[in-house]
Amino acid sequence: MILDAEARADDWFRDRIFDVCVVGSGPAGVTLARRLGARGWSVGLFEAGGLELKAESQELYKGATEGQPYYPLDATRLRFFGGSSNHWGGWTRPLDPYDFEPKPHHPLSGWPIARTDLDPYAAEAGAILDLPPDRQPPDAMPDAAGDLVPRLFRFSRPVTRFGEKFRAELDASRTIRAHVNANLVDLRLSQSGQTITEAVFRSYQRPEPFSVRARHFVLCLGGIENARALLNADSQVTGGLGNGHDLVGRYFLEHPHAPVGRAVMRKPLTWMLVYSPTPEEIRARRILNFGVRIGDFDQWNAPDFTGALAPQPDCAVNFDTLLATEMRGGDTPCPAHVGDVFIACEQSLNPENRVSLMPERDRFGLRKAKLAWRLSEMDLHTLKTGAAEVARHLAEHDAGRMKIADWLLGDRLPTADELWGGNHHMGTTRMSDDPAKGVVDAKAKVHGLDNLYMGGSSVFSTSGHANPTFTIVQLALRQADILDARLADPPG
Amino acid sequence: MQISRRSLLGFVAAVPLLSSLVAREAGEREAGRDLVMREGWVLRAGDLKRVALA
Repeated sequence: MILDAEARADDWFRDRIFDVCVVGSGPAGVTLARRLGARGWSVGLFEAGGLELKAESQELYKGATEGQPYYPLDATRLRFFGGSSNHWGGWTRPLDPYDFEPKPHHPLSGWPIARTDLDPYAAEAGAILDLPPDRQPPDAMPDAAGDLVPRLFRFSRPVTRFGEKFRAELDASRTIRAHVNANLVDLRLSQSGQTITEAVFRSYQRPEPFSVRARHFVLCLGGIENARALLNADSQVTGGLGNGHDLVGRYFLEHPHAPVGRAVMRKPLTWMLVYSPTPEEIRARRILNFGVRIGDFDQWNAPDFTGALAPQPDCAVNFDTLLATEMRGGDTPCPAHVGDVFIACEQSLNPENRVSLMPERDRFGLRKAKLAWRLSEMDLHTLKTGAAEVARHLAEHDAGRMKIADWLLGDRLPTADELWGGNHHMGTTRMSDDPAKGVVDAKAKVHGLDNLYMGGSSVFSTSGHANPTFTIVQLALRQADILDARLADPPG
Repeated sequence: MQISRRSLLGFVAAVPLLSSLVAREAGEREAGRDLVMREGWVLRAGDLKRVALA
């Protein structure tokens, strides 16, 4: 059922212990709650906002940013039922297998799990996200056995909004008790300091907090708020929970997104092309993973884009004339042969890219978040190499010619009009077997705590270049299996 | 677009593979499948002559 925390009966919570308390109702939280509920476990699902967007909830996401221009923190995520799936663009692809492997030139890289740990959840993630069947990626250079490989994005269409899609199911559930208007304000520890005993919440209209007990707790608040919640949970531990190594909030990752040029193609573009480097290329050039897209920027940002580009009339103009027209800055007579070239790349691990707390507090007394986001030499090297490699391949294989964007030819940092983030917030409670290198272990359990887990992209050890939602859902399904096993057979 | 030598050097430092292209910006070598860069366009040698005639 779905209940409003404003109308709660405090006695009810006083007498109950959930098997699992899930905080956050985005893709991670809803996926986790549904799977655990289907297995018969009692789940308390808590959403800070209401069933619809409202200003008093969104206000609580306000914060500050520094470094590379970034979105306001109350615009880059959504705080109501369904979370940020409510403005998700629907782009998906899995991380590549080699995204999980350590790279010698990228310190701290590598996950404690492999792609094969997530593969068993791919089909179910695809069904949850309403994805079309997988298919061969389109390729303009099929004979090129080179350093770039074609990749495919699959699109959730219509975009899965978790609050809308699963609202009726959650409302009818006998095992999941969802609450809206429930803002997490603290996590309380046992005397041993190793077990979370209760999560403390506040609603908007009633001043008194209420506490929820559970055997296990999972925070699925998003990559910024997961860190903020741990850092603010300092009523018993200085510096916040799970922060013994000063790692919570650090290693924030985005996917730098940038237009990197324009291409004239020999054959018409009928589908958005995507190229990524091979793992050998990544190591040889000491770069990060990236996806270079070729197509029509306006089309691929349309809400109904599926990967196919709109058909265009046949072109009767020869390639040299098309290229000459572009080089002279003229209007092309054959739009299907001209494409925007755009890159989204992995970001390097930098402890100074971080979510930290400011002195300023919100209405519940929690310190607000500050996000520091900057590009590293390796990030810029990857962006420039990605653009150059695609340009080289197009020319060498005579598939087309590319003009590299001006800003990539200089030494300055890109402006806000030249590079932006993807609203992908990752890495702030990163996964590592080593407590000195990550906040959570391979099971996404916070190091040093027996029953606190993190869900969502905050646990990503590295980001790859793929949009994160597919991996978030895979991880949530896996998390449910981990908790299911632990609930069924608790350690002695 | 005018590419300054400084910007080219910065680009080359970051992306060694294009060092040869920059050297050929002046048209030092235009043969076979060699690549040249002209005003940001990465071209095959021979493109410039064909484009000029187009």
